[in-house]
Amino acid sequence: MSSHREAPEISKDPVADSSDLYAFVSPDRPDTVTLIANYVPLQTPAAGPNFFEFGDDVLYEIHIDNNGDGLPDITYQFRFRTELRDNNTFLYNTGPIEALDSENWNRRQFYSVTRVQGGRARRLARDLPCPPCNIGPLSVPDYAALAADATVKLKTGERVFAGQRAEGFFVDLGAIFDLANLRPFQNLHLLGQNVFQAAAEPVNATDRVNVHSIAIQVPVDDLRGRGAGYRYTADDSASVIGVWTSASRQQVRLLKNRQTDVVVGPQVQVSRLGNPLFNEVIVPMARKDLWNSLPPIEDKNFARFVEQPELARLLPVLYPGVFDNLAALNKAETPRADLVAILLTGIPAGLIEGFQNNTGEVQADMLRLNTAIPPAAKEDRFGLLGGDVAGFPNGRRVADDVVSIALRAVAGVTFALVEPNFTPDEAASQVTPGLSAADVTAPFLKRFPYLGLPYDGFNNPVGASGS
Amino acid sequence: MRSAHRADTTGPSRRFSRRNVLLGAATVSVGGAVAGAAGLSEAFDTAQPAQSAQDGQDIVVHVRDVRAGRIDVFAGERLIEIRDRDLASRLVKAARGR
Repeated sequence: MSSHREAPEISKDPVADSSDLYAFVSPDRPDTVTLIANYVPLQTPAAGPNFFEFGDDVLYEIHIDNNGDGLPDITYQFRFRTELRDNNTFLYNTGPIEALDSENWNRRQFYSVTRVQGGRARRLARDLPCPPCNIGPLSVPDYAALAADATVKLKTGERVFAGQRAEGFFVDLGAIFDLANLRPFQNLHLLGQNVFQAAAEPVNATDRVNVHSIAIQVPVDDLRGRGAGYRYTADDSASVIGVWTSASRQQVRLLKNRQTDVVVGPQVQVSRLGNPLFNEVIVPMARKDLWNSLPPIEDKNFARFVEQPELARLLPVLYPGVFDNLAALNKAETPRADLVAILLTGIPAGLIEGFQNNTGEVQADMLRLNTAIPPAAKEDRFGLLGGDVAGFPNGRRVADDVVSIALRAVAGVTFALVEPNFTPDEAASQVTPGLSAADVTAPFLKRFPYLGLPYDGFNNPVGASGS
Repeated sequence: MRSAHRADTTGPSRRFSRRNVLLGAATVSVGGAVAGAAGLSEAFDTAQPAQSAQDGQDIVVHVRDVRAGRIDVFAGERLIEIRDRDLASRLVKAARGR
């Protein structure tokens, strides 16, 4: 998946597990950038009696590097606090929750937002309410209204929301991790050709599950490094920001009776996410936990896995005769400068006409967004590979098909950008698990926070009646 | 800016002498011993988490290297590294029940 349960240790700590990160120039407010970090992945909507929530003991952060050094210049911190209204009930709610201050709502969460810049921390807001989980129509008759009430514009200009949303990432997880047996190509697979006579329709394994999103929409000039008076243009590296999210826990926890646990020590990073699939697909399993603990500035130590990705070696083996040019490229052991650019430095000017999101020589896994490129009038789900320079890997929008884009890049499509003599295999520009945003049941929104309304627990999973 | 976390640390800046580290260690030890007897009733009497876990007063000591006397002291959101071979050996003795 993008980064859901992507490393052994964080897979056991879902509250701190970052699953997706989005960064894009807001289509409806192009003078702002929207940043969304998803946590607590793969929530089954019917989750009573203890519904999903953020961790009071987790420090959630979204970092922005605006000068290309791989270090955070701006960090937004989010800290959560849970309150029980009634100590004598086992229930999350004792009646319909029709307002954020409903007396029927027993377990509520609140959060603070702090902006750290230049070594100074400024708390922008505190005690902001999260909406409840979407329990069902009797308990939460109007989630959209509650979510709207929980969307707050801060005095400093940012708009924030933190709470449950529908999972927007789409992936045929069962196929990908069953030896990359992509259903649209299963009859061409090394082992699949002995089992399947024809192609098949993909399955969105992450449909009808929820996540917890931390979304913040920031005036673009508050993220860029040279202030509002500077004239930012698409060909200027000053227009490019690098974004990543992290979750940290205090280093020591003494378990007592869970109500009086002792938690002390400095914050220690346990989860990190920049580009989707970096830790999941690029980093070997033996190093995934380590990667999660490190800042992006250490990613030069992982560059060799980008230059010679394991997946690129697997594709010609798993699909014999389909990726011959990629096989030859692998055999030559030519470092994949295209992937290094996409994932670690940004794409320099001159490779794609009218586009760059390069941040310099420092190798760091960050989601790089050229903020001077306006939103697309009509999005192409293949982003940059589809000729849409406002899409992944220029930042990432909620509907971008990042799995197909990544697969095609690894399969060799983008290597031709850095080596014109290389001819990608015909299949490289076609390979896909076969899913799109249309396979996400809850539609994306056209406005903040863009991810769909969470699936309710009464109607999901779908029963035999189809209700 | 290398560390956003440190910039936001709000806990009081304390200096740790050998004496108050010992006091802290003793407090932790006594607290642990009492918890077994009083834990249940305390849990039912107080619906909110006990203050000790919230107010940054707890201190946890980790003897990292006895021979070198390297000791990590965790308090609030801070880690203080100290070197005290005598203290380290005394803590080891305490851990052995002597």
